[in-house]
Amino acid sequence: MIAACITGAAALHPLGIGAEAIVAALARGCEATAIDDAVLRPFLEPNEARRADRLSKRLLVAAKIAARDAGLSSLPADRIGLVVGTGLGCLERTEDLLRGLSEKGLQNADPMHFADSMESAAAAHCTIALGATGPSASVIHREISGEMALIRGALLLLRRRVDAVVVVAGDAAPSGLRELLPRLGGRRAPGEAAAALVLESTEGAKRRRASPIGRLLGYAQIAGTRERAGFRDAAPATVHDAREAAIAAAGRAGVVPGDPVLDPEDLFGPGAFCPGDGVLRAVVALERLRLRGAGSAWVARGERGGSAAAVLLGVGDR
Amino acid sequence: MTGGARETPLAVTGMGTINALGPDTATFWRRLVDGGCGIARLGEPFENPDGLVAAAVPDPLPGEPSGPGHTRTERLAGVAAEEAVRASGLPSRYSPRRIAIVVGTTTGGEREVESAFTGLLSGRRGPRSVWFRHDKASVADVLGSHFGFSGARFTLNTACASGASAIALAADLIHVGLADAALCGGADSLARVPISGFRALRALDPSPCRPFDRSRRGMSIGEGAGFLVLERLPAAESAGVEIVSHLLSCGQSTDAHHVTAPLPDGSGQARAIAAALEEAALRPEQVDHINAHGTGTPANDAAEARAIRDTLGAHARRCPVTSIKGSIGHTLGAAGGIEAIATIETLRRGIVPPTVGLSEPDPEIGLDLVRNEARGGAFRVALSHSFGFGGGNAVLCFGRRAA
Repeated sequence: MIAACITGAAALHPLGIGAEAIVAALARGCEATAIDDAVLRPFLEPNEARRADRLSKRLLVAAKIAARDAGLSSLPADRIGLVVGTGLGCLERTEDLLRGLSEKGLQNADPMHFADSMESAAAAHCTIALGATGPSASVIHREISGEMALIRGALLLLRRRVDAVVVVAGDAAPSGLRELLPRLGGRRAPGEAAAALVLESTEGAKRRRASPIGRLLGYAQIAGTRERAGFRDAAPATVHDAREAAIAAAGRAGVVPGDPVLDPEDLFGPGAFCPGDGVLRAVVALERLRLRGAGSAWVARGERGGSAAAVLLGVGDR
Repeated sequence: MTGGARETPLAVTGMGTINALGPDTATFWRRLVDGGCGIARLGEPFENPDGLVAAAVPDPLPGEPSGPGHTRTERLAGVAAEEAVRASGLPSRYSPRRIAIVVGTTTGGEREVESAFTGLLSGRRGPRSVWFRHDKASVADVLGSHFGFSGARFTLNTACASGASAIALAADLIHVGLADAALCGGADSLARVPISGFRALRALDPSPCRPFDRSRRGMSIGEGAGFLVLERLPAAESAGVEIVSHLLSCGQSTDAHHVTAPLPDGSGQARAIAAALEEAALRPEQVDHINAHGTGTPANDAAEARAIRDTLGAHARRCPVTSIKGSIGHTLGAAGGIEAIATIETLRRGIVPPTVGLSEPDPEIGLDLVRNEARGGAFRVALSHSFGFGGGNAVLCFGRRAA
């Protein structure tokens, strides 16, 4: 497995923008679940702010910040790819559309609501904003959507279909979902997150003198073989297997099992969840490693269909 | 891939489909070649005061392998995947952990969620379980559970290019060694959201669609599923299984232009075509046939035609092109999988099916369009185009044998 360099990062969280601010705020305790629209405004064009779905706006801002952080404008547009990861998709526009259909019938759908209701809309907004014309895709896999998006991005690099790939993942919780969950007996509040990492090959980063902030050392996924089982997560053994497989794939037998891993509740407080927060957890893990000077960490998660994914990250020589 | 190095072909050892023309590949292909059309007035359970047409899979759906407890998209996927896996003999030849599943879908369980949401607004709570059906990843999980495959598993949404993108990702997984084989393709079912959405965008033809026709007015929405089984060529040859085709390459690009409309000059699509040719180390004149995206919308058909002319040059006028969306409608996330099967059958049988609905070609198109009746020939290499809403483009290149 080829390690990839990480040359750009961005993180949006209810407590702030940027890994450093988020880590500091988390250390003080965290209960917030929603990202305020006001923090996005400086990063959005008027038409983006007006038209895009709640999730798309958040992902768009994260992608822009990460791409700028990596200095991607120096690369040819057709060699820049984009992968979106989301567990819930563009629920705001989907809800708008369904509400309109229920109230006014099939003949009166809002065309703009439809276009922006698909998961692929977020990728469209991001590629338009970045001018990225390489391969793009949206990956949907519940609570491991972020991790799986990172794996898809790494594969694009490995196959040399791109020189750099922006992997952006997250989820957003429109007001309708917040009202709906208690009525369905849900006990957990949806949290919002959007984060991005820019992956490049080691040679590519060296060639354009980019400064890596970390490395993607290995990754793995273990798929479940049972059907949907409600809100139950994958068995801990499956997560363990995914983690061990990622470490093996990286050839890093020396990784200490106690390396930091972020539990979802660390990010949003007790009882909250954000399916697409895998890339956010990766960004925060990298920041914690940076503060330590060097090291490796894995970001691993199971999802309620029984699958698990793990991504191994490193800073420094380890 | 860069540098002109030739991609190692993968073997296609199984394929399966269900769509408006039939519940299996043989029926689908026979009716396709005969110029069949599965597009008719949209009926129950959809209200249809405008008399919209669509390509619905006739009910009742075949019962296996999934049943009434599953969403319609899952059931369609199950039927197609069962045919593909049975033809390939896959389960007996690989460890389940080495068989990947990659599914492209745009609607997932949307049809079921729509009904539940309407009920919820009326104060009816309904079963909790239905809310999981918005979850598009469940299609891949149902297939994984049924077949016992626990290898790499992905669900993709690149709009209308989802099925082809899924096949491209599956190929990547095998090439890098994360899987030995893959079940891949797409599935989608009719639902009020896409029907009303495309209608609101004025993208639907009130009659059955007419790809590349001078009078074309839009697409006809459809549903179905199409899956392939891919594996490494040497392994398939050693096992002595029937190899129905070679997947030579996958070219992908993004328009980065508009959330719905394609680049008018077709340049994004052209880059995907060029990438597929480069990866397969093929010259444009080696392409014997193109199964076009050909939705019947004024914008797509014009852009696609330009992309073909720009990449194939003079050869564009000699390369037979067809669109099967006049027969099965635009099956959205399933299109890439179903149309890959049609492309493979063209190579196997030496027949290009006609573009149903095409009576007077738009003179601006400037391609060798197959219409009125099927056309025979010796076809060794063919492209299958899928160009999605939002600008995602995927081109699959198949060969009858390594070219």
